Amino acid sequence: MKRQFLAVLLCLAVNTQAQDLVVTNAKVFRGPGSESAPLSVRVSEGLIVEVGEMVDVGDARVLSAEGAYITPGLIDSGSSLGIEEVGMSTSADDHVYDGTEMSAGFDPLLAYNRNSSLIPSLLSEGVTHLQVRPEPGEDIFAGQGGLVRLDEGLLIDSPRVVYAHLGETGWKRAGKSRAAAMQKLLGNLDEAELYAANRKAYLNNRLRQLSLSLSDLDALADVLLRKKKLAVYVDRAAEIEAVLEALDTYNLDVVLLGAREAWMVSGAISERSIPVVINVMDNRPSSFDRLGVRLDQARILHEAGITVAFMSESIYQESRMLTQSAGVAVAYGLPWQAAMDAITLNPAVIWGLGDRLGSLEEGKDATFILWDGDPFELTSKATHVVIKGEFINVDNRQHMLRDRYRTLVEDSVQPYSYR
Amino acid sequence: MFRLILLSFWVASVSAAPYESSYESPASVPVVIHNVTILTSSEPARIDQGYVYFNNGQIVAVGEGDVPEELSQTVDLKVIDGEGAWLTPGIIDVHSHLGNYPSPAYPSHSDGNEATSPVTAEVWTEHSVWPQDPQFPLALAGGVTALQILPGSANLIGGRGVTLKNVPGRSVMDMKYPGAPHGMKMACGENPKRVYGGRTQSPATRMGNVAGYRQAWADAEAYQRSWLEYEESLVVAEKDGEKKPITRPKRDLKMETLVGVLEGEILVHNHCYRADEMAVMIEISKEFGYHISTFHHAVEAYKIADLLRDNGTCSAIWADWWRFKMESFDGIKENGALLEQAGACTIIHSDSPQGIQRLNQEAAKAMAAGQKMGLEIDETDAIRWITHNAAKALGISDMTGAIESGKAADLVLWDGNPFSVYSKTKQVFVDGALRYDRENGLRPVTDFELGHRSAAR
Repeated sequence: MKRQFLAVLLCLAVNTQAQDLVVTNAKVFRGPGSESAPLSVRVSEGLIVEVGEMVDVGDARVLSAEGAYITPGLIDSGSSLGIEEVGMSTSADDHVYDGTEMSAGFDPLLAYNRNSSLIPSLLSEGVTHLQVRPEPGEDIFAGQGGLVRLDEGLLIDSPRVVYAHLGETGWKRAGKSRAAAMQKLLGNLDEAELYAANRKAYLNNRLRQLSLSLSDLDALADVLLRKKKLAVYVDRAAEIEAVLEALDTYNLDVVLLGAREAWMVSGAISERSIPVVINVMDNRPSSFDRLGVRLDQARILHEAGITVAFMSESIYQESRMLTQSAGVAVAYGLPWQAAMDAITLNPAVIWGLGDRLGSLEEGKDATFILWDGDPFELTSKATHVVIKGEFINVDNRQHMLRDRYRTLVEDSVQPYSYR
Repeated sequence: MFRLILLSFWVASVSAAPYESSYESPASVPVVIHNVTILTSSEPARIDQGYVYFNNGQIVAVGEGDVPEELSQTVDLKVIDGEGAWLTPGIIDVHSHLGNYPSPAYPSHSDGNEATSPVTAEVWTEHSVWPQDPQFPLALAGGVTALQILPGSANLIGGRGVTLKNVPGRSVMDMKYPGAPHGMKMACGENPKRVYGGRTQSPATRMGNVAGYRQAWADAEAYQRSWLEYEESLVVAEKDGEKKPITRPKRDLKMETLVGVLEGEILVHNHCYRADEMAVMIEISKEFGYHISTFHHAVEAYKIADLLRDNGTCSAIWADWWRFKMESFDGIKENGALLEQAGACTIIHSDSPQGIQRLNQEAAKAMAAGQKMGLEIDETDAIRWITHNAAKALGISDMTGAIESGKAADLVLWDGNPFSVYSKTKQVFVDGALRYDRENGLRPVTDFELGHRSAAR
């Protein structure tokens, strides 16, 4: 199914916004052995304005995809990229707050570096957006994350998400008991509720002293008002059930993260319409919270009607493994389109920009990828990356290193460092 | 000769040498898998429609087309139709910590790093292997039939590694690969200097690392000499009844491992990311006269592919790991393919209980990266990276790692091209015995997995 893709010459420097663009002869892959008829996508001012088999080209610039597969830009639902350049390298990392003055209020996206040298590497894999999230330092609350467009930074209109960790991580940060972690989560929400209802009084010192900082209270008050989502990292089935029941009284917008035993309590999750973000390939029973972990969990959750998204959750590979995760989920029974949704539409919806991202629909951002084969196959490649109608240059330092050492010839005239 | 003297200490008292493998391959009926696409890791490298016949644990015949009549008439022959399936050698992981860092991963299970001194050549990783680690069956489901368990990388010299067959056992001896040499783990770079530098102890720098290795080898040379002198004095005393042999030196377990390397009986597996450090490690091996079997995590091997080729040293690498620490920052996906192109030895390893389940996919990514840059790399290369080349690095390539007559029937039957993300193992054979069968639910269940309400695999 490999396709030779001979693109028309694209001048990256040219401002393409002025003129409409029509990508013709693109196909939608629908799973091994199945694809759509060739279709065209018309782009105007960064948005998709028409998708169909018969799109009027008019005076638009035309790019023939020559039968390549088109997908929306991929979205990784859990990454530290942009706030962590290199692991174990002290000040090259902003994604874990180790202090004690903040918890839920910590907002590492203020430090997002859109010039990170890693970003073009990820773009070259067809990943255009990340839900960037902090990891916990001293508190069960890791802080806040948000949806980032790789080449631009935080999407201002994407709602922030507050991350809380139960399970082993919460245990460690709440005096070594899962029960205490749950009590802290609920106690902090109660404090924020009190604060939200008596904000002026509190600021004027007419309310009892609260344990949280103002930034934490504000963040959790937003969670209570459903202006921010609450993402809860928890694996054990019984704990998932317990926290969902406990949170029922607050009427929050909850996302489950990790959730390795979610399939065992899929009823409790689906009846509350709570989405689940999983790491597809981590199937080890690495703690007593994870004994039920299984590779076909995505299929089970999907069949239970739960919205599922995938996160890479690994500083080793990052979103480089996103399409592989989707392929593995398919190998273990998830329908192909559901797997594609788990790295495009579902994360767009879960992280609050479902009206703008995640599918090739009229009115949405013209953010899409052209592939030379089945997008999930390990041998396929993203040939073109388009964000809001702009062709993105994905040259990166990995490519430069490759080219520098492509042929190993000692050359005193032109040593490696001058190549 | 040195080894012979040591052996004589125990041969006197017990029949089987201590710590040796007690693995015995189970009796198996003759089997032929036919109508199957075969990647052999040998010659011919690929057979599009062929058969493999194995009996008594060994591959007897491999060929193209139909099974010859003299084989198909075998009594009790089990015939497997491989329609649509692919057959490869069993996958071998040269870098694993299964059993040393098992699941569940509690501190009481953490047995992979004797991080108490920069040189702990005396420890043997096999004495930390928990055979009930439920990660072993997961790796088997991924087609892994043999694996080397290495000590961690906290130390300059971490101890001996062990090569196991991926079979269940009540003790590690039941899993040890008969006839496989020990490995010895060395580690460059960030880890040792961080661990010991953090305790204001040497090594705190890369130059401290190098001084540490060299001093250890110098000590080993002295130890080796003391035994040779003792041995010579025995010979002299034998000839001349007047002369008494010198006092027998005290055994030093640390030195025994290092001398085992100097005498070529133990293979060096050297964790080393950066090209410049690998080059220095090669200098050290020249100074003390040993050979480095494999650089592990050789993220920058592509920068010195020629040097590695000329030194006959393999590079065990990940397909796409990078930037998780400074010394991994220059990782590129084309690393394995560039090494292959230069004529050096590429191995894809896991160092991960997740990655070990999908080494075929890791190899696929490394292969694809080479293809995308225009190199002539295909499935016949990629399969060698996770079978034959790995066997070579472990010193077991005369026994396993390829589909050819006389080799162990360590085989994986895949439900499609093993380098497709959608393909899964159907059946896994170790020494001709069916150890995993996805359709029929045949898989080992560790003691740990019994009785958990949620255990679902």
